[in-house]
Amino acid sequence: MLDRKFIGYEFEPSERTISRWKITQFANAIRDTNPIYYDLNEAKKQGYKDIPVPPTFFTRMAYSGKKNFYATLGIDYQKLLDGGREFKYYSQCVAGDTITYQTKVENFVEKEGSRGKMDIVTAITRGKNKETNEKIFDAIITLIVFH
Amino acid sequence: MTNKIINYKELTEGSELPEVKSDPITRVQLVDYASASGDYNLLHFDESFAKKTGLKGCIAHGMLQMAMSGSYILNWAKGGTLKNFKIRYSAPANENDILTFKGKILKKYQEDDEKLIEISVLTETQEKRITTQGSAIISFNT
Repeated sequence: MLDRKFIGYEFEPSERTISRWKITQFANAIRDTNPIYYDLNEAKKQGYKDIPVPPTFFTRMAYSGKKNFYATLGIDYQKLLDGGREFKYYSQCVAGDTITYQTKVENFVEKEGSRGKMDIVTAITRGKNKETNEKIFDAIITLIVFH
Repeated sequence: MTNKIINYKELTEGSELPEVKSDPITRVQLVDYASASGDYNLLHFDESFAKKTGLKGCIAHGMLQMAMSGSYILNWAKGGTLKNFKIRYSAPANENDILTFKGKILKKYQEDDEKLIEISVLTETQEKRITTQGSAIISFNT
């Protein structure tokens, strides 16, 4: 059972500047051929200031801070199942933007299933544009940790 | 890929999105995604490691499937803006699986003058094994 003192725990904020090359690399890896991810002119033609990020690009930013998320919370990988992801979008991020993001442990809830007792862990990472302070995304992670 | 802009008025609850099939998920793609996402879990590209953990072979990253579902949604929802997107994993997809993406309009509604739809999405393999299920909210100003 995870230590309840970590409910509400906030990791250090991090920041990252989004490059065109990283977006293009990501789009290629997911085999998305939409030209807005490869061609600046095409992105601009479709109303973007620069090359936009695909919706799950922020998966790289699911955890902020220098400390390892799992080690900090005392989560054993052998007892861990990924329960799913949720993204909320507030404004479009494009290449050249610098994003600051921070992870907070939202809750631990104990449940009992066919494999015995478990903690359902939810953590939220909020990302915003460093210059404009505009909210960009929330990434919510749900993890299942067996006792 | 189509270029047809969605006309919000023509969307109806219960109607299905056109299905799309992926190319087989190759080892090269799994390596590409490991590098693009920073998720270097060996299960995804080291077959002998994957077999040691009891799997038959390499499995796709769950987040790769979510990313491909995201492309499926945006490619359909031309002219729309994604507001919310969630996925849960049902079963792993294996290397060389071909994913079929399916979707359905669950709800059409307005909130603070914003024209919205909620859709369900799922991915299944060539053996009809469902690997992810989720939903998305999209807003339109068309």
